[in-house]
Amino acid sequence: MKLSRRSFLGWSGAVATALAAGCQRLRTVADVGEATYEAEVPPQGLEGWVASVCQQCTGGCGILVRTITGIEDGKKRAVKIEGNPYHPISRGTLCPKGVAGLQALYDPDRIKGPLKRSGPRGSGQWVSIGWDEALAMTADRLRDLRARGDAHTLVAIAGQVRGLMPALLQRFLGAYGSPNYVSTASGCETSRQLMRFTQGLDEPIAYDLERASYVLAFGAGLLEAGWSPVRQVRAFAHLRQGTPGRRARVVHVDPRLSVSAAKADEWVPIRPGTDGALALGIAHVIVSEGLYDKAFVDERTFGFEDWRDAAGPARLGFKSLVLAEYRPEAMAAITGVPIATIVRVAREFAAARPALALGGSGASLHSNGLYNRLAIQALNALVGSVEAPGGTTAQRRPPVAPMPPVRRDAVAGRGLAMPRLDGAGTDRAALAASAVHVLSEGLRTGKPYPPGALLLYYANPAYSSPGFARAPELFEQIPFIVSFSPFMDETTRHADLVLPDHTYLERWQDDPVEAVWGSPVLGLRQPAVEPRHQTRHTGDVIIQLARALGGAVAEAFPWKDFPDLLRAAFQGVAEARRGLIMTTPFEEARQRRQAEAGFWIPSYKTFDEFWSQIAERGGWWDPADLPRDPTEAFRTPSGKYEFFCLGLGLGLEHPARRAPARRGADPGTIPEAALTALGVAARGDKVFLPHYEPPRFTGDPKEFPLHLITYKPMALMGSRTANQPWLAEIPAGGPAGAWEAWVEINPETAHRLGLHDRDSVWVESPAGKVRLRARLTAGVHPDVAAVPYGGGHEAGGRWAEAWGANPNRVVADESDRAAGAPALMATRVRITKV
Amino acid sequence: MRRGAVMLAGALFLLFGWAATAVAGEQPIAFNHKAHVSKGLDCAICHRYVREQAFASLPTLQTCLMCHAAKISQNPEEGKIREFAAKNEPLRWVRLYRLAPNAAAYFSHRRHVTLGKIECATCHGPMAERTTPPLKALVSFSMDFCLDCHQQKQITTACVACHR
Repeated sequence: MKLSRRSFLGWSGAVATALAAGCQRLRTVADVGEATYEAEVPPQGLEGWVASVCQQCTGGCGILVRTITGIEDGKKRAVKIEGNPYHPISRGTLCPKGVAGLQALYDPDRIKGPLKRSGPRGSGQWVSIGWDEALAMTADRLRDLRARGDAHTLVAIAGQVRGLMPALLQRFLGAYGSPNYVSTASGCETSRQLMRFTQGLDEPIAYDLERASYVLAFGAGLLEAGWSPVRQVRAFAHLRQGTPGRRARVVHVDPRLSVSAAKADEWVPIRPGTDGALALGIAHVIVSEGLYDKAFVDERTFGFEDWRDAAGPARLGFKSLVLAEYRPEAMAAITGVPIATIVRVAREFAAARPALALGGSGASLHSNGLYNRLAIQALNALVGSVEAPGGTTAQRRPPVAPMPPVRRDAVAGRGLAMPRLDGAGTDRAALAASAVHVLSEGLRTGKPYPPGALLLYYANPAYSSPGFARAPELFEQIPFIVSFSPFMDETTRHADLVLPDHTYLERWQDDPVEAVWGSPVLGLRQPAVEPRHQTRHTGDVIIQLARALGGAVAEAFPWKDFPDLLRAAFQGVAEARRGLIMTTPFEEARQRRQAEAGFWIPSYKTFDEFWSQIAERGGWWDPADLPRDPTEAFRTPSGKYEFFCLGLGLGLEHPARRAPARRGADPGTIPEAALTALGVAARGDKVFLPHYEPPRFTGDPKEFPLHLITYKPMALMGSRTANQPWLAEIPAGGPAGAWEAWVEINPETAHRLGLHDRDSVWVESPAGKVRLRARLTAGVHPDVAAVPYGGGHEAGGRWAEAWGANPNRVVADESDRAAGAPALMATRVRITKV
Repeated sequence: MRRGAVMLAGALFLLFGWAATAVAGEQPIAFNHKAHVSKGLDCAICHRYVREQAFASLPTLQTCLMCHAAKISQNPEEGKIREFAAKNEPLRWVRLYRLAPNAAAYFSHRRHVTLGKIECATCHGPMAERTTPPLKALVSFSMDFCLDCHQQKQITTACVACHR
């Protein structure tokens, strides 16, 4: 066949078009080199290391950033991130997110300076403005709002942040006069309440994993994402192989065979939402066979036996309840876990001391989350693993100097008396401090009042909160939106003004770790390089805004800038005369010995010495702060660990009253109407005790036969890491590959539905639908469809937008109304071929 | 003389043969092994100490009550469990599997099950298939029975290993 020129051109045209289309994705992948320091080829220069703290997730790992300072231009460039060997959490190691942090710094799609919207909202039309203009605009709007008597309509949505920054933002709202500081970290509400009601503490729960002999994990991503991935992985390694001759046993309860379950000794598949039932079945065996720690239960717990309150009537104890209602046979029917497994695991758990039961998001993110966690924690109390080595404890906070009290003016006083927009403390979210999932409802109805302005800090609710992800047009209800995000994410797209923050590698900050093993750890985050763009530390911006507003608001912010505040806070630590600046394990051991003997020998004489040592080594912590004295550890009304949570009644009946009950208070009974409004099925004394609340799911089981559960692979953290291609390249350790999102289905279920591996499917719930690739795996319960979370961005950068689907689009609005947490695992779905 | 021999044989049989043919009375509950095994319950759930101790143990009333505290089947025998519980009477099972007491032989379940990895049915017979309690042991334990396996698997056959 002769190839004419025309046909040749025609063919090559067609081929080129096809190649171009097919190569779109390939080209995106090939662009990866741009997002790393390779774009800035470091010249000859001097190497340096800067100690700092990663912020790619909540882990709080200490890092060392390797920098090269060019000899000719004197400019410092960050070229590599490694773990800081002095930092007790990372000890020189790091997870993939930590190493990929350079891609946040060098992200080519970062916002490079303040932006003002120049077209309609969401159109992506922006004009660059200077900081003075941006600050003046913001201050003017906020001043107007206040002058009109609408100070309470200012809303701040902040994400998973801790330490001085959220404190500063809350202080700003307090001085300004708004009660509406809304945290998107609502998944952690349940853990907080667990500690509040069983131990009377306001501190998060922490697990002494390293010393446990038996770990029973319910729905916890021990080796994936979690509250501190690197620390968890190291703890797991230690409890398996760290001590010669000792190897702890790990049993993982989860509807899917996660990496954690695969590396455990045993995977117990369970129906979603029934973790509490399993825990109670195990408790039944432990109690009925007398395997519990009688000394601990008698001396350190309240509410195990039936008791009489001051008024006289008999009240139910945990023992009677568990023996009467939670037989293994009945629990096997509810959970799908065989009777033999329940009995065997119970006996193993009680025999191995110390044993540790822990609950993760798989147990918490259901409509019965609070009671699931109470049941799981009851197991620890039964075997004496509360405030004991190898058990649970409370995470202590470092002794930073407190900020001076705020003097509130009349405007602030009036504003703070107004109800919250997110329903926290009402019967939509009775016990919660924040409820972002209810906020979207409030915006829809305009009740109790319409919002006036929104500040966004470290949060992207249009991606991470289902109510907003499904209906981002809700942001149109808010007349003025300011985002501090350095990235043009889904929510920032709807802003009127962007005042971009530095990335974590460019700023000063404190990092008090939230939940490790109890000892307080305070890392110092410091700039590894000069800011690359015209960004500004949000701490500085808040101080400047407060100054611009004048009056009592300005008075509440006496610091020059954020680093000034930071030094003042660290002064408290220097003066506390305890702990040590992070150092080698040998020095730590020596300091621990000294502390045990009652000595404390400082390594510094002045605060400046302290500060320069901290800056060199990365932070401070107190390894000698071990499990506490019971009088400090249990501050409940009874002074003990409470099976029967005396304070719970007060919280549920009068949600707005959050103070814990006085010592020895009569818990009374909770009116039926209150319980119905909260969606609590139990009545009578059961409400105060760990019990099984049947989980609620959205979706008719006949139309939506499968449960949707979502999980976070270690490499993906939602929005912070969205535009980092190194992370999207990492498969989740499961059935699928990189750069794509999938849904895991059991092969039997798939066969019934006529689906094959790698089919394109619709995953549809009553709330919406999303398109994914089906991956068949026996490692998922037949009634469950599992979808990873982290892809499917519609904004945020060229790599963020290149792949995946966001399962939050189909997650419905079910919640645990008592705890005030969203029930992200409570949606039913159906799967059909595309 | 012959009658004496017969009487002696009879006496000897009664004395020594007794062990091999244990006679059991009725068990307090007509326990159905097959029904329970088919629900996924393995032997160690009720014979609790089989992996940890010498004596495997027979189930206590507490063990049965873990599931049967309320009525969960149509079998009238089940009600007896709750009657015993109400009267606070322990379950007195009739033990079928014994070694001859005068043999002075020491047997450890832990060694055989956990270390030796022997299945229960190997020595106790197909108990899992039974729907009613057998009247006598399904397998008779003679010293040959033990030694056959010991020799095959090259485990000690020294006298003092078992006859302590």
